[in-house]
Amino acid sequence: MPPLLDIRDLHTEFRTSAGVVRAVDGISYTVEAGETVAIVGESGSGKSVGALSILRLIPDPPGRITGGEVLLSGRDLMKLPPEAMRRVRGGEIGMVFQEPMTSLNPVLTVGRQITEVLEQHRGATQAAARQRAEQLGLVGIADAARRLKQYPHQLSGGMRQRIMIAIALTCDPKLIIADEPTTALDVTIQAQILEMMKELTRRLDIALIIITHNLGVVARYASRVNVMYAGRIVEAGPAVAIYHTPRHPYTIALLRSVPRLDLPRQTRLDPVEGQPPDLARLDHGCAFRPRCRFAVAVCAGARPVLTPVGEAGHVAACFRAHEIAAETGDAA
Amino acid sequence: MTVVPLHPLLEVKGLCMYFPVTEGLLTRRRVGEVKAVDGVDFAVRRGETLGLVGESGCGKTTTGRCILRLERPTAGEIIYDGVDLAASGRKQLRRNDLLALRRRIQVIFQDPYSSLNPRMTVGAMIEEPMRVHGIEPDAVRRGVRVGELLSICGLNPNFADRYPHEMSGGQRQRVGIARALALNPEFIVCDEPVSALDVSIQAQVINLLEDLREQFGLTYLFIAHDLSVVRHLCQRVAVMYLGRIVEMADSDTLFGSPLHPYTRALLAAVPVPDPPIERTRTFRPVQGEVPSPINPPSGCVFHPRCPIAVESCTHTRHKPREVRRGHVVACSQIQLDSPK
Repeated sequence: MPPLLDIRDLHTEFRTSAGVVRAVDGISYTVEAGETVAIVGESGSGKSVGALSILRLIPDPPGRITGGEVLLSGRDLMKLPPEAMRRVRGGEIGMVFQEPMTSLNPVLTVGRQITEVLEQHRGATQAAARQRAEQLGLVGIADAARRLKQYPHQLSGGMRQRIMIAIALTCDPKLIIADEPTTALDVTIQAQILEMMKELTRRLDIALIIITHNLGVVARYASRVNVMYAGRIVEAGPAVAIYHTPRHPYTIALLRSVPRLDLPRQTRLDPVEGQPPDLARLDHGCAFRPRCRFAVAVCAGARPVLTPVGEAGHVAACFRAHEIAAETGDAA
Repeated sequence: MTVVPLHPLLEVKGLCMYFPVTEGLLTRRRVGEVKAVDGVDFAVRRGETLGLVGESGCGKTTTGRCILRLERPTAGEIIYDGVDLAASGRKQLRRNDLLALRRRIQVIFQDPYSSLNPRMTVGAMIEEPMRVHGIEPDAVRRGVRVGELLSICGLNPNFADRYPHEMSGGQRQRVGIARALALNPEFIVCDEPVSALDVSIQAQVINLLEDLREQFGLTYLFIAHDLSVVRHLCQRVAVMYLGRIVEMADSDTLFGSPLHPYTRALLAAVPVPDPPIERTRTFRPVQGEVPSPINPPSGCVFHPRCPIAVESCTHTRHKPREVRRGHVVACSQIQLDSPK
C-alpha cells in the first residue's frame, strides 16, 4: 500500500530583489496513515514553505512551486485543477496555523467559521452544519453553544487554537498539517493542546505533520523527525535515532545548544556559531559548512545528499556522517 | 565564595500596579482595574541574577517596567541602593536624581525588531544614551566607545554604520545589549531577551549575557517564560502567577524540589527532548486557563486550577511564608515534611 502522503523532490522558489531564493530545495518524505511526523528547523529553513507547498498555498508571484510531486493516496496534488485542489484544502487535509488570531476571521463568529467549511465541502445547509458545529466538545471546549456565537477576539489564545483545530477536523481529514501550533502559547496551554491533538489524531486515525523549531515539543509525539536546514532535509529518521544518535552536525549542535531541565545544570552552553545562511547567496557546497565544526575541504565542493546512517530509515546529508558516528558514539 | 553584602541592591516591597479599565468613547468611565502586579516582595543582591518567571499576563514584565520607572506603581516601594524609586509626594524623586539612577539601571527588551529605531544607524543608537546623559561629550571618543561596545558584544565595529534591517535577529539583540551597556550600568532588567531568537542563536546570546555579567560585575533581573533558560542563567528564581509571587527559592531548590502546585504544574509542562523519557512520562496537564486579572479569583488566585485546593483556599489569600531558609511559598497546603 502506498503511503498516505508521498512528497518527492519538491522545489519552491521565491524571486526577490536579492535574487532567486530556493526556499524549498528538493525535499522528499512520506507520511503513513495515522502517523505523526515532525519537521524541525529554524526560521528560514523552509519548513513552513514546504508545508504550504503541499497545499499549493504559495503566493505566486513572488513564489512558485518549480518541481516535484506531492502524492496524496497516490494522486498528485501538483497536477490537480484548482477546483479539485480547493476540495483537498480543508477537506482531506486540514491545516492549523501558528497565529490563531491572524488566521481566524475577526468579523465572523466562531460558529460561522466552522459551518463555512462544511458548506464549502459538504454543501451542507446552515442548519445541518450548525448541529455538526456543536461537536466542539471534541476539542475540549465546554459551553459550546455560547462559544459558537463569540468572535475570535473574545477568546483566549489557547481557546482560539482549539477552534482552529476544530475547523481542521470538521471534514474528517486524513491528514492535518500543524505549523507551529503552540509556539504563541504558554507552556501549560501548550501541553494541553498537544495532548489533545495526540489523543484526537490517535482516536480518529488522522496523520499529523507537525512543524516546529522546538525539538522538545515533538519528542513526545512524533514517530519520525525530519530536520531541515537552508531548504533541505539534512537528517531524517525515527525520533529515537534523531535524538539519541544524531549524525548530522547541525542536528547535534541543535540538540546541544538548548539547556535541559532533566539534566544537571551545564556550566556553559554550546551554541551553533555564526548566523543562518542567506538563501539568495548559497554556493555549491554544504550550506551548513560555515558554521560546522566538522567541515573539511570536500564540504565546499558539493552539497551532500541524504545517505543511510545506522538503523533503517535513518539518513543524514553529511560527507562525514560515518566518521562523526565513530567519534560521538551513541552519546551525542 | 563571595561575601554577601548586608543590604540588597534592589528591594521591592508590596509592589502594586493597577491599570484602569475604562468604558465609553468620549467620556471614559473607569469601570474597574487590572491588577497586573498585586503585592510583590523580593530582593536582588548585588552580583546575583534573579529570574522572574510565569506565563503571559502574570505581571512579570510590568514588575520590570516599574523598576525601570517606565510605569509609576500604584503602591509599594522599590528601593534601589537606599533610594525609593516609587516614592511619591514630598519624598518623590527629583528629575535629576531619577536621571542619575537611570544611568545605573538599564534594560534589554524582548523584541529586537521593535526595540531598535529602523531609521537610526546602529552607531547612533548606541551613542544616544551617552548623549542624553552627557557622558563622553567628544564625538570622536564616543565613536571609539561605540566600536568597543560592539566588539564586546561580538559584533564587528563597522556595524556602527548599518541599519537594523540589514541585520539578523541575533545581531540586533546584540545591538540592544551594546546600547544597554553604553552607560556602564550596574543593574540590567532583561525582559525576555532571547525568546524571539532562533534556538541556535539563543545559546550565543545567553553565553554573551553570562560573559558580560562576569566581566562587568552586573546584576540582572531576568524576566522569562522559558524555564530551562532561567534555570541555566539564574541563581534565584521567583515564580509569578496573576500578579503575585507564588514561590521563590534558589535555582537548584526551585527546580529540584518545587513546592507550590503551580510551580510543579509549570515544570511538568516543559517537554524534554528525549523520546523514551517523554513517551513513558505520564503527565496530566494542569486544567483550565489563567483567569482574567480584571476579575481574579477570590482567596488564592490559583485555587480554580489547583489539584490540592481545599475549602479555605477559595476565600483566604495565603501570604508567602518561608518554609525553609530562602524558600518562600504562598500555599497553605505545603508542609515541608510531606512527601514530595
